Amino acid sequence: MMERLLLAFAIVAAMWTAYQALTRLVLLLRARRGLRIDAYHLGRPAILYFTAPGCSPCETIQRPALLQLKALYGDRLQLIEVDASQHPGLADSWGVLTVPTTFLVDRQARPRGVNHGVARAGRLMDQLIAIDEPPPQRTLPAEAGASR
Amino acid sequence: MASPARPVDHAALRTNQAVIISLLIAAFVADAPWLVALTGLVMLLGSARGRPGFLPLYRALRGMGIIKPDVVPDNPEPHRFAQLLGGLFLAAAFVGLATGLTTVGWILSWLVVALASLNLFGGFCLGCALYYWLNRLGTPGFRKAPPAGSSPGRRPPAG
Repeated sequence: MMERLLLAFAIVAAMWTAYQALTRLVLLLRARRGLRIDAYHLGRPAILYFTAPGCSPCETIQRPALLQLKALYGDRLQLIEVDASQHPGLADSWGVLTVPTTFLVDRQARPRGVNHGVARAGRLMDQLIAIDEPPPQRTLPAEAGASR
Repeated sequence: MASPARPVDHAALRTNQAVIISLLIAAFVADAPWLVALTGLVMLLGSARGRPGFLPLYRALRGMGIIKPDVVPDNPEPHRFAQLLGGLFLAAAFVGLATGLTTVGWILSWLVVALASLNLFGGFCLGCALYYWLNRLGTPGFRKAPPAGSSPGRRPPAG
């Protein structure tokens, strides 16, 4: 029984690793082809946020989390929102499988991370720190009120 | 051409996937081929009845307030087809396990786990994508095209 349990863990871990590798491959291909996002300005990191009308987790969780980050980072962070239903070609080219999906783009326009599904503000902040974009302070504001 | 979509509760689909994944991993750990057969049977019966196999469990969880409905305009047929495929894979897996082809049986079971996980965690339904691909090829019985504004296999935008 224990042997099979360990084997099950190993298979799940292998599947997770394969999924992560595939995600990295998509990011790598995207980086090679260029961002093709007009709203992106070189020199500042960005979060590219794919959403769609009526996506309730986008409205209730993802957007507030992004606005929290925006309030924390201010102009140092670009928040670029894309309606996947209005731009299906762009969503396709980024490998968007579901909404919300968020991509982290560094200041050299390289996609560095992706979250399929909801990503909380803390996780996004950790991902920004991982790409050498620490926030001015480590505490997230409780309520977001910043504009894009 | 896009087909007129109907309300599909994606929370029920996700619950179905989560139960399938849990049961199949439990079956592997406990070395219980009967659990593979039971899961496959529930999926096949669900497909025959045109709904998620583990719908009663979802209804119970929804009744307790643990899960909320997530109704999206979508085509139920591709999800039914995906479940049918999964059920057939598990039927083949059980045959393999029952006839001594245990490696083949468990590989097929884990394939179903992998595809259900891709759907549950990645939001991509490979069986649905296959259905829409067969639709594009004009295969009889595969009448539905992806809802407007969505891509094959992906969750359609709500509203």
